[in-house]
Amino acid sequence: MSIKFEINGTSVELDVPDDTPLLWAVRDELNLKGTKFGCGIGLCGACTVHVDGVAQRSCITPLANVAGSNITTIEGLSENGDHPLQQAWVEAQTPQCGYCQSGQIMQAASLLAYNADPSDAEIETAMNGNLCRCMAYVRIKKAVKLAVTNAAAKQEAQNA
Amino acid sequence: MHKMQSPSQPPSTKLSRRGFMIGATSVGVTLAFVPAALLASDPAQALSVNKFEPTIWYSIAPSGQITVNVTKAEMGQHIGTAFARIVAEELEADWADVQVNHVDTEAKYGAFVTGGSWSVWQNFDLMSRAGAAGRSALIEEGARLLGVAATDCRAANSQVICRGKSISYGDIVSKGNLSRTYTDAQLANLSIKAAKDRKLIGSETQALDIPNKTNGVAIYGIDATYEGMVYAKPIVPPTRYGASVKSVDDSQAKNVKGYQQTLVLDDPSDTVPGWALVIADSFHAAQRAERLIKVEWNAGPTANVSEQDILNRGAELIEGSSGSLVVEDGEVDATFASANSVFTQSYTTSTVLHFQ
Repeated sequence: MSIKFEINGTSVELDVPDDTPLLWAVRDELNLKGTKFGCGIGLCGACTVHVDGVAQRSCITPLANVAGSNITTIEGLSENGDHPLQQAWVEAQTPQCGYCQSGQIMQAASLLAYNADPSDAEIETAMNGNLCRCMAYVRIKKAVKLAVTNAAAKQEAQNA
Repeated sequence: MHKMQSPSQPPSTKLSRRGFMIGATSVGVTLAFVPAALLASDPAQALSVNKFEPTIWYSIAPSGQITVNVTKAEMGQHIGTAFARIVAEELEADWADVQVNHVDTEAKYGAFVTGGSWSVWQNFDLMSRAGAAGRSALIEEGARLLGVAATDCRAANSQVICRGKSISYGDIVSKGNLSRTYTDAQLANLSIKAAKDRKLIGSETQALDIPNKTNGVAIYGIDATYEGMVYAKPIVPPTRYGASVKSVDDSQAKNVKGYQQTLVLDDPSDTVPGWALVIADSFHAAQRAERLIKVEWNAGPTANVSEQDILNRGAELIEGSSGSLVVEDGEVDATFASANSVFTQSYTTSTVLHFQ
């Protein structure tokens, strides 16, 4: 049975078992390799994507659950890799090895979409399920705050 | 006197039996270390067929773009950026012209051994000399093209500047003939900057590998794909060494769509003894099939070794003479012998799983 959904603005139809985790459909069927496999049991956050705008762990999301949904992966977060979080990630020089960072950015993007000015505690709560073996946590938090500040400054400049 | 025995010595980095070659290639000019035996051959010919020792090399395009090839794995320490900075420092390159290229892991590019914090310090001198040789050739050729003496010229910001005249590196590559070879001795004689004169090394910069780690573009081992590739999930034996597979029952796995077969590894190197690999069309199918496969092993002689057995064996080794001496300090025995009192204590550490 085939499953239809939208990914990064494009409609797709996949003919794979409907218990296939979204992660493997994204990586191996749709060849979008930016989403990473970490633990496979929803504990590390490396596989985070958006399902209808909300961060979800794609490694434990069966395809059956996303029929008819809109999926966004790191490749589709912005047209030119210039989402405020992606810019802040570069500015803060956040990644070391970078393996977890697609998931980190997608998690943070989901947070900012619902809360444009999160407190430190809110950032920590939202991000604490995304593990980083390089221990880039300090710079991840710095980059999230930088994205908020940069967005506010941009808004102010537009209003001025 | 302390005599340190490092448990794992890095490979030698001496310049011996090497030379350096600059020659025209399809990308512009290529600058590379070569085995000394190649120094007699025509640089353009030798470099165009990749007959060089490919440990360290870079190229300059007619556009002025400088590409530093990195033959080490980028594991997050941004060593590609460090390599490029070292070359660019001595080359007197404009940093905006410099990019890194992580080459693939074909055997011709060397062993790719990355670790032990070796990459940068081990290659620092070689990369500095590679940059300096390029600068020296560019100054000579730039001076010739400008019709002035090389001694009146210096290099800065990807340009050769001679008493008010200047020519860009890109133009020298386009119009000049940079074909050169340098022996070991000539390389050793090139002047390398004193630390206080460095402009790039030691100053803040942004790592060149970071943007691609924010947009899903960076390629990791798990992202590699090949034509006709299948996916495998290992089934590992109960013991690290000495196990062998007795039987594999994959009858239930045959119902999993995409399951192909289970291979029992025949491993004469004894690296992964007793492993079975579940092969499938997709990783998910391999995972699903793996759960349905029953493997029986002869677990081998270590199956009943306990943690306590390992600790006891460690203690035996210390008592006997078969342990290894890591640091030899001649005064230890004498100091103990002449001490007024001696405090004795034993420290033990348990085994841990190391998997990376």
